[in-house]
Amino acid sequence: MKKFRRITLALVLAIAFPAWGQFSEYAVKAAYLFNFAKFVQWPNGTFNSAASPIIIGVLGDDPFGGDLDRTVEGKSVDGHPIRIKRFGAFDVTRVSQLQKCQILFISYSEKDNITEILGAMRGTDVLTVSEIEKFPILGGMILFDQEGQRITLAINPQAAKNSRLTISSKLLQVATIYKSE
Amino acid sequence: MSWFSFSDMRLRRKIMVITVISTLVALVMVCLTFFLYEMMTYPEIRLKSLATWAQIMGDNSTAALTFNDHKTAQEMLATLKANPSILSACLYDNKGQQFASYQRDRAARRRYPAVAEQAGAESSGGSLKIFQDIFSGGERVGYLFLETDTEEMRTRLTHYALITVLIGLISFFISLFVASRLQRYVTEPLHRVVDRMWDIARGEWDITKRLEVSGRDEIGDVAEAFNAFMGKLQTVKDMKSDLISVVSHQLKTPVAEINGFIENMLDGITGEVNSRQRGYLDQMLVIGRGNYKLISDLLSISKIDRGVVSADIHPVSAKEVVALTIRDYEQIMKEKSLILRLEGTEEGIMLYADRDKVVEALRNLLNNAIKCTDSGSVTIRVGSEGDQGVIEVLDTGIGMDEETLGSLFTRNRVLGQEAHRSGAGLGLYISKYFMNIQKGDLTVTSEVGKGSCFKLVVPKYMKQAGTAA
Ligand SMILES: Nc1ncnc2c1ncn2[C@@H]1O[C@H](COP(=O)(O)OP(=O)(O)O)[C@@H](O)[C@H]1O
Ligand SMILES: [Mg+2]
Repeated sequence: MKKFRRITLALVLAIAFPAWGQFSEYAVKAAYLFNFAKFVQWPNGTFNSAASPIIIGVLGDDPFGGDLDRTVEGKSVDGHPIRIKRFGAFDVTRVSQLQKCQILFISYSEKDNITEILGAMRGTDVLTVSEIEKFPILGGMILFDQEGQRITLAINPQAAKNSRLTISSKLLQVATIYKSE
Repeated sequence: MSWFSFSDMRLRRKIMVITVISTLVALVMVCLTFFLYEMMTYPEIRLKSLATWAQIMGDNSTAALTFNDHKTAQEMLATLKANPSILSACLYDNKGQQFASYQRDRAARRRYPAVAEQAGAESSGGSLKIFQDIFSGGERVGYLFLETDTEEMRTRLTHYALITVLIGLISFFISLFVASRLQRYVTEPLHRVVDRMWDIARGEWDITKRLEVSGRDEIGDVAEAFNAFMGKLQTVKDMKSDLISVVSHQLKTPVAEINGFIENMLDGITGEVNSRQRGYLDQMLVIGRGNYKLISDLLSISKIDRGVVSADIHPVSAKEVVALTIRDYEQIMKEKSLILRLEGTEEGIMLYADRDKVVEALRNLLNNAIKCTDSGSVTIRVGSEGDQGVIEVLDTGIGMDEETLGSLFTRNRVLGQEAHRSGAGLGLYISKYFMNIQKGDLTVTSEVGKGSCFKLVVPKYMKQAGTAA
């Protein structure tokens, strides 16, 4: 009784491309950004209906190229489709727009405005993600860090909790934990 | 083979063997049932348990797989140590590449199979393998492979065997103990019945005895059947007694009359008797008196058997009793040239007894003494011991040996060598019986060749405050 069937191709690919495999750094980060939706629970009332989209906002220059759009294309999490919104540079007058996102990726280009941005996002139920150094210490939630070739995560669970977001313990397990200063 | 013959076993053993065997058979059946049930259900239980482990592991590893965290995945797989039956585990990413792995025995270096397209379980040679897809948010993020060994199965079976043997031993001893207790309820009443039967069989033909019926079981039935049998025997014996009683009653008077006629003829009432005729008449009288004695003994015995003998107790003087006893014997003693001595008859001892029965007993003693003494004397000595009157009959005759003495007062006595001197051998039995029913007794001492002493004891008559009259 031989139930297993090998996927030889998959194996060959896995051996041929170690580490990130064939994917670029931002392709991986785009996938991570999308996958956060699976490990984060937004407070009740965040979505108008079961089919309301999860909006991923990109603030500042978009480093993903087309990767982010490709990653989320046709995908949904718990029935919620994924939408991408690009905002350009931080603009105080458009804060209410930013607050409508579920996940906000703050690009490196917004490095100088970070305190202001985090101040504006404080208390709203938006998961903030960035690659700006010390992001979790400054009050951000998830930082894309790097450990050699590998992209790692640094999380400030208290910041998420203040925004009434629940980050799965499974996600916390794979991340470095930080506290705000 | 004979040492194992079930039919020769004592009932006690049989009951124990039966009890223990049936207990063990029942136990073996129960154990076998459990064992089979276990064999049937265990693989399924095992599979379920393994699937549960795979589910938990898979679920916990979603984040590690999603965010490419080998270290966390590795740590998580290491928690499988908690289940020692899991031999190896391997986590694959969604492209089928090994992501993390676990080996129970590092040295074993088990190989992990390549990812299967479909999730499923495989069982081979007692070891169980399972492949499981890992989903997160509706997307497959990887696979998990788990493998258990046969060890657990084997230890379970050994434990089963051990427990079975242990329980078997315990219940063997318990049932042995219980059986050895319970068998008494069967064997003890049975032993009682058998013992009583032997008592009756060895006994003095006292067929009025009955077994007590202890219960309504088969042993009770045996006792009842035996009692019924004894009842039948009793009727037969009663019929015999009745017959003897009727016959001897019918014979007694004619024999007494014939004896009277012979005596009359000897006394010359029918005219002159010449010496030849006298010789014949003497002979006839001896035979006639013997017959009379025999008939009255038989009558007494049948009365005793029917339980109609009672003592008619009055004060009577020992002197009168002795006088009545020796009345007819002086002639015979003179003919045998035996000296009759009387001692203590003038002391005025009063007895409280059935006169006729004491006289009959004494006459029998005197008759025996004369019969068994060829020369010398017969002494009748009257005395007292405390509140008992004593009349002894001593002779200087042939005496008796131990064997004769032992069965002297029984009625089924085998006649000894002195049979030629004997009657029916019932006299002493009747005499002793007559004494016993009036609080008296009859005992004997004797020495072969020197003589015998029969000692008759009856209560003395006590006139007011125990003064002997
Ligand atoms: N005084 C005695 N001396 C020797 N033997 C005796 C004496 N008295 C009795 N016996 C023995 O005991 C037997 C039983 O006596 P008894 O019971 O009176 O029956 P019976 O006189 O009819 O034979 C006698 O036959 C005799 O053998
Ligand atoms: Mg006699």
